[in-house]
Amino acid sequence: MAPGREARFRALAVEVTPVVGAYLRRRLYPLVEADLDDLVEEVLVVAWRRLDDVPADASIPWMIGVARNVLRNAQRKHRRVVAVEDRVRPSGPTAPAEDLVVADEGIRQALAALSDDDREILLLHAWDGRSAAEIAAIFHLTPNAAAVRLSRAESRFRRFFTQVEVE
Amino acid sequence: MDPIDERLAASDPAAQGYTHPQFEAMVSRVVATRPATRDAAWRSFRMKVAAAVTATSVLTGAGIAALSTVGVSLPVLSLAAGAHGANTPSAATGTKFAGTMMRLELNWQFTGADNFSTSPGSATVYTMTGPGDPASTLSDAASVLGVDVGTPTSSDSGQSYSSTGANYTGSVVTNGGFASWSIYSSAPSSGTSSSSTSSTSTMSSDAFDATALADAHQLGTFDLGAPQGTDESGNGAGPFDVTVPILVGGRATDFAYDFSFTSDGTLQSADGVSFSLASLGDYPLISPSAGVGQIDSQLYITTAFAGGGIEPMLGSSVAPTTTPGGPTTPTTAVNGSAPPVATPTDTTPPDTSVTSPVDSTTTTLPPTVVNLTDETTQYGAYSMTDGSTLLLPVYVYDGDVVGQGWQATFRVIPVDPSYLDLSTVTRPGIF
Repeated sequence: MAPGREARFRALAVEVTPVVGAYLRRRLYPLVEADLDDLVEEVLVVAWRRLDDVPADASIPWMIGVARNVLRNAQRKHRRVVAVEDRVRPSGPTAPAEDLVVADEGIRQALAALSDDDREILLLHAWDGRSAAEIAAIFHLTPNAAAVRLSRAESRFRRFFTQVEVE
Repeated sequence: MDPIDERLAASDPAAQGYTHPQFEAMVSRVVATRPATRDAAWRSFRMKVAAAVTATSVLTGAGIAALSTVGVSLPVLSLAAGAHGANTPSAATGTKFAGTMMRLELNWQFTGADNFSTSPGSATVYTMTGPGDPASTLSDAASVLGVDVGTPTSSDSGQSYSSTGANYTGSVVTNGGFASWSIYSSAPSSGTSSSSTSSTSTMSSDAFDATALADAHQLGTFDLGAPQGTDESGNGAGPFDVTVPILVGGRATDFAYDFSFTSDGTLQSADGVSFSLASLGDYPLISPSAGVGQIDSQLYITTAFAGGGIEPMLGSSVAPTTTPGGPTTPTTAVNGSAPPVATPTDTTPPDTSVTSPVDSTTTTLPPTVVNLTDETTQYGAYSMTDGSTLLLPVYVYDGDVVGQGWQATFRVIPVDPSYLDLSTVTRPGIF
């Protein structure tokens, strides 16, 4: 294997592994902490296979985009397994991961009131520290569109949060 | 950082970060696997794109030269990719199946072009410029709305401002071509649908619409469309949301003012934009009928549009699904009129589909036929490679997805291809 390619990948892995790991940990439910390292490795396998496609100036958004897909595949697989195991009893919709991991009741309720899209965009900014431009890359939006979506998500979150706090 | 932001940040379940316990071993395992190689189909595709770009360049030069002879010279519009810098003229997505890599090529087929005009036209293209003083934009909006948001301050060198007043909080974000502002009530509200003290509004829906329209007129100098109001509760208890579309040249745009009122008429939140327009010139357009032929080649670009009221992108990916014993079929949402099964969380298909035993296989899905029934011409905001933001004409097509039972909307920038440079917009990451 070309040393240059491997060195490039190692540098990328050093840069993105903490970010990808934290991203996945925030959204892991219903998977468990023991699954986390395997998911990170799966993301890096994709990066290694497609190293030439990783944009030099937007590697983290690109990797988060991969991580989203890897995580959702894993969550689907988990749900299918659970569904088989629980076939004898009906199951309701799966709660957002934030419902299970956020201790702050007001924040949790306000997040739960958001649409999936708004919640993901808001938390990519608030928790993962991604800029509007990076969110644009993750969702294949234009930077302008991402900024508007983020602004609206924040506005809606604040509105829900205010309502929750009043109650 | 205001208290809400602080609490949200403090709720981060991964605030401690992440460190892989055996990082070096993991990297060694990863690099021991075989990296993907470009397949012949991909190389062929890239060559076709390169040829198309070359042809476009030739046409561009010829087009400008020809128009220059009659005294008209229009700059070529070079659309920028997103920060990811990825797209191609062909909509496509892919997925990962059981450890193998397989690219799925979408196979859209559009019918109904005969329903639309075959007459080419022209439309003005505008350069969008955001306000020079975003803080003032926010303060002015608060003043128009009669609320106190305090004095805006910036913590990021002026890219955004926020402030909190006695009962309202405001923020404004600059986006190059425009500024997007938001104001919301931070005071206890009574009259919301989720409040135990909610009550039926004494105001009519027309009164909310009129209030919103009057405010919108004062917030900017734009032409405005008819207000569109909804009662979130559905039972008269509110909140009452009103959207006032921003028009340009009498046409709908991606932008709007949005208001939310409690049942007693108190402003709960407002969102809007601020920008000015300068004509870049009148550009020739292909006909709406001919535009149908451009949908597939612009699919990714035109669904990634900017502005208010946007809903399409997060639901726009294609999720192939598997029918046991049958072929894979795509289920796609291209705008807010999402199909029942293609939600944003469904953008990656399950890994029980037909798999390829070999890396880099390209699979073309069975055709998804869309019968287009309606077309309207609107304006959408797009980023250019030089960093500018332009307001471009767009054809918006509505149609029925044959056999799927749902509708979809597609957009095309109908500017004569001689004046469109899409070469910098490259393929999004797929796997």
